[in-house]
Amino acid sequence: MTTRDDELLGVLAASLDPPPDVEPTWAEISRLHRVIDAGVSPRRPSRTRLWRVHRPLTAVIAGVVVLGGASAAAALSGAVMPQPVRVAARAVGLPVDSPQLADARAALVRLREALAHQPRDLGAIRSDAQDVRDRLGRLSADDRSQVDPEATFLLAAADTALAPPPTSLGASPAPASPAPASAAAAPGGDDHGGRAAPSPPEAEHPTTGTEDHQSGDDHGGSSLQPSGSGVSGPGPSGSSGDGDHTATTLQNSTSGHDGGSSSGGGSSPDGGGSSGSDGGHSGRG
Amino acid sequence: MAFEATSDLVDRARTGDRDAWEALYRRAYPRLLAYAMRRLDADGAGDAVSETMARAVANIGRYRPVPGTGAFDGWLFGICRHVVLDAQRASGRRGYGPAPETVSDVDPSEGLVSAEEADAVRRAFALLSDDDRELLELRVVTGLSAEETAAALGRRPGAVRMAQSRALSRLRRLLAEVEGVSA
Repeated sequence: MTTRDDELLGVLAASLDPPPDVEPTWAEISRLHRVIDAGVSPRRPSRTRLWRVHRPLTAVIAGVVVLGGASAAAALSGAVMPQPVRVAARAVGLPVDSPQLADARAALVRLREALAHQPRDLGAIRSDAQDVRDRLGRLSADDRSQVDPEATFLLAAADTALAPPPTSLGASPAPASPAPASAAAAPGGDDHGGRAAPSPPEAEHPTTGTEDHQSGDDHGGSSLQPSGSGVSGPGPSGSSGDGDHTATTLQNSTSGHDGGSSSGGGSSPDGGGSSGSDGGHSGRG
Repeated sequence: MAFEATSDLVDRARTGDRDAWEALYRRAYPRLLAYAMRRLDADGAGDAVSETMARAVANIGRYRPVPGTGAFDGWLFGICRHVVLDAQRASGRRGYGPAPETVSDVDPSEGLVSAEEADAVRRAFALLSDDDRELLELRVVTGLSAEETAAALGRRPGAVRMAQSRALSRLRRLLAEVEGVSA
């Protein structure tokens, strides 16, 4: 029995099968030639190594440059920064607003524009005010403190704009609307009905646009239409008669017409009930 | 044709020289085939060797020679090892093929060892773990140096030498057991 490793290796080599004395076949050589012809790139070891080493560093530098540039540009120009860029910029510690704060600022801008727009679109003001409230609710304390003064001012202005006009005793309803002032008196008379027996829409909406709805078409405040006021925010919803049917449009799937339509939504194929759009503003049939 | 150093052939092969590649292929072919045939059937072993060369051609740009080690063979056997493993996975088979004693029907020793001793060594070798057998095979059958074996196995040369020493110790113990049983 062998005792030294070298001897044992020799015995092992003598005992095991040696490599066969064969050569590659012609077919195997041909395959090799085809592979060679298919593409052997010239030697580029140094470049490969350099690229391997520097690729992560290059990516990091490029990312920082892009994020920094985008942040600076957005900060200087006031442009809206894309949310992914904003998230990435905050992740690497750049001083940019959080996405929630940016959204809240954008909502404030929209509300300010809605308030400044003439003639005033009360539906837009209401929805924008609600949007602002929603977004403020999602902010952290620090973020909220940055927009709170402006938000308070704009929301107060929105509430004022949405407040019901002072009614004087004996005042008559708006003459433009032949519809009854009470929801109970108008069963299925408009898009809030949602009842089984729709009434002729043209008869109740003889005129067009929001003027029509200011005549008492908005029943959001009615006890029969709780959802009409439920989504309208803190303002005196349902009392303004501004023709905003954002909520009620969702209910008129059976009546099948768009409350804000000037052409009689009852005949519209897309009917406000299915679209869920803002009937008071869309003007679609 | 004059013998050309492997390193020179490799330099030419990098440029796509078909003759250089063919020469490298012919040199490595028997040993690659022997390695593959211990793990795959004959057809599979031939395919594995062919695939090994194809991958070598495709990746020659990534091969970096280590001066003085002749590491090209180690690099090539490293590729072959992965190809064989892939083929074994594809066929759902792992480890070695038929046991060496059933494969070998010739006595290559030609007087260096007796037929009985060679048979005992083969049976003891078959009892080693796959890792031990692979290492000793690369060293003994394919004739790779410790450095080339290390390159093929993705280990350090010192670790290969240590593992080889342990594997030989285990082989020696197994050989004693086999000889004791047969005695």
